[in-house]
Amino acid sequence: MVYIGTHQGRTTKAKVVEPRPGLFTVTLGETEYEVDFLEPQPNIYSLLIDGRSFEVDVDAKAGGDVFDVLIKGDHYEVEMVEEKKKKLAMKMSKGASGRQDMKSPMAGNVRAVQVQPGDRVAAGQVVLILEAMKMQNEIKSAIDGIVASVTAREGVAVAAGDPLLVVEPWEPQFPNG
Amino acid sequence: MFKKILIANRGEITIRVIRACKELGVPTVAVFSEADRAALHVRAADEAYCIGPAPSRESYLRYDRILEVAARCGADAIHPGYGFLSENVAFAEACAAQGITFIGPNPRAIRVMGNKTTSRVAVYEMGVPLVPGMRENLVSEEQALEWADRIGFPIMMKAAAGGGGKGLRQILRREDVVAAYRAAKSESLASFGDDAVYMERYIENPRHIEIQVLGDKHGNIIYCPERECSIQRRHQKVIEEAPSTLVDPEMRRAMGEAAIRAAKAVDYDSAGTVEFIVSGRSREFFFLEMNTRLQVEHPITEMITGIDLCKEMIRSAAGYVLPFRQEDIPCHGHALECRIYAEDPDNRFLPTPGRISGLRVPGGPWVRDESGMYEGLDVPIHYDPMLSKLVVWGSTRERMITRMERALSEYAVKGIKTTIPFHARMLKNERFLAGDIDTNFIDQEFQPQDEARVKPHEDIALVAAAIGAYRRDKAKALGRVGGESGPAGDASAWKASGRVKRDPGF
Repeated sequence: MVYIGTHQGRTTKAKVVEPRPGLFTVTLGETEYEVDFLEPQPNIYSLLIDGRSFEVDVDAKAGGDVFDVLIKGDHYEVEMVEEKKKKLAMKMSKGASGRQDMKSPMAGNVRAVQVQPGDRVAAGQVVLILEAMKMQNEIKSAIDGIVASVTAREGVAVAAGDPLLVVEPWEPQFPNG
Repeated sequence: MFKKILIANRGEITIRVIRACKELGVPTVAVFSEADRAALHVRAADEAYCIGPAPSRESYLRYDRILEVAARCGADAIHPGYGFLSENVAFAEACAAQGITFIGPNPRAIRVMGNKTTSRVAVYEMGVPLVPGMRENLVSEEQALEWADRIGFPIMMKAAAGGGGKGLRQILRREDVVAAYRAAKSESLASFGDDAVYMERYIENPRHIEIQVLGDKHGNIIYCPERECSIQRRHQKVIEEAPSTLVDPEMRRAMGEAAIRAAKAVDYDSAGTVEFIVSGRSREFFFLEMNTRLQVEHPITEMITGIDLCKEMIRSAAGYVLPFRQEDIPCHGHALECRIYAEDPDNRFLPTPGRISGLRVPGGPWVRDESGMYEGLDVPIHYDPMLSKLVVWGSTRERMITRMERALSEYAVKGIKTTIPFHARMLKNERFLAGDIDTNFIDQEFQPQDEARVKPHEDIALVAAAIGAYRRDKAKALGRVGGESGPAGDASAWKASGRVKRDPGF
């Protein structure tokens, strides 16, 4: 299987072959890793690579393509999408290039929605305040745009990944001449 | 001693108090909100009662319900922990009215020290140094300008009822005084329902150093060696150590004696902490406030003195005389506390409530973990994000830091992100290692963009995620073949598995 892996903006092609049970060959870009694999506990992988052991916790978020990988106390949020699926997704997203579907980064209560449909927002502008664990967290727009729709409602609880609002990109129109 | 103690709190502090009670042979009662039904403090107590829905104003702050539980179960004392009702005068008085001992100081001490202005007046009269500035609240813009000239710049504008950085303004120039006065007043009113503000000198390279005091009901009071709590984020302490790298024995004695004078100003008769702001340049110290309760960071003092502060606080409330004198208090070795929060250091420290799917807690010599966590616990969104306090002791500061690094490397919390890796990085910081810290340390040394750094095992993470995706897809494909209708669904298991094997992808 061939996947496209993304971590912190770095994209890598990952080819996975299982020549026999418990042995994987994973090719990341140009580098090939021969991996002796064991799963001593559910979602805990023991990877033996070139004689060195790595204990890795791999948690697929809600069974999706994003994996929370924990190694030596560090979390790595890795997206691993099958190549064919990734290409299809890229083709589909071309129609709505730059559109920002803002989703809740965590569970919490919506304290304030500071924009409404039709509002123009700037990149970095706070559009919503989400309260969780006694902290008020500012949710900011990543792009300059126009608010297309707002799903979030003040006072209503949201779960991580719930849609909050959609921002369509806006580009200034300059008069000719 | 008391017959039964109710702990009006949740999480790790409740478990800490329960442990002390068990060692004193006193039965314990926990209270909990609907969100905390499965919390560890509920399981640790001898009895536990639900006091209302998840929001704390409907449960942990409802002292009428807590007192009802106390009456129902026969508790004759209440320990408030920290936060929630711990510094609430009305609650302390309501306990007394019901004939229940409030495990804390007398109500007057809570009232006087709970307000920045009254506390400053009280300690000033006892000769405790204050930051140069106003002793009363500002009444007009003209007065603000007049005082600004008298104090000299830089100046801090502060809310009288303040805390948590609200109503706080740094003023560098005379032309900014009036705007800062108006902004601080309105923010203070919004945050605390009180718009009183005052001004004082801004201290350069400020360090937050505090003195633990312990008093009894017989007029005895002692101080412990200081705790340094300068490493803070959003005005919340993140790492504390004892003793401080700035303080020598002479300064320790001067600060301790000042703390005793502050405590005596209100006839202090319990465990409490006098906080000082200390200039990292001149080493002058000034009274900041007094916390009239047990504090989160009390274990580091316990580690270097060998005194169980929680137990002594309970014994003092029960009327026992302090079992030691000032000259009996040692300062032995070094202790460090890391507060582990349910926050994502790679994503602007956003809170990370959710289920703890796996947990491995550090152990070994001189390591203490105070936590309410267990595997399978759902960390709720309703309360403070502190998950645990990891405390270590070392005979030297160097050994203490090495031990904390070791303990952090053992600590694995799975399912949610925590600040454990952030702590590990801080302990490697050159300035931290040299003890060159102040309250701006985190802002100066750790920019959010630095946290999104390349991590040492990125390739291994990609390999693991690729194997995870492959195994998931393979399992899905096997499952799908068996479940489909039509020719494939009718196929025998060996045929189905053969078809999967022929898939070029596998």
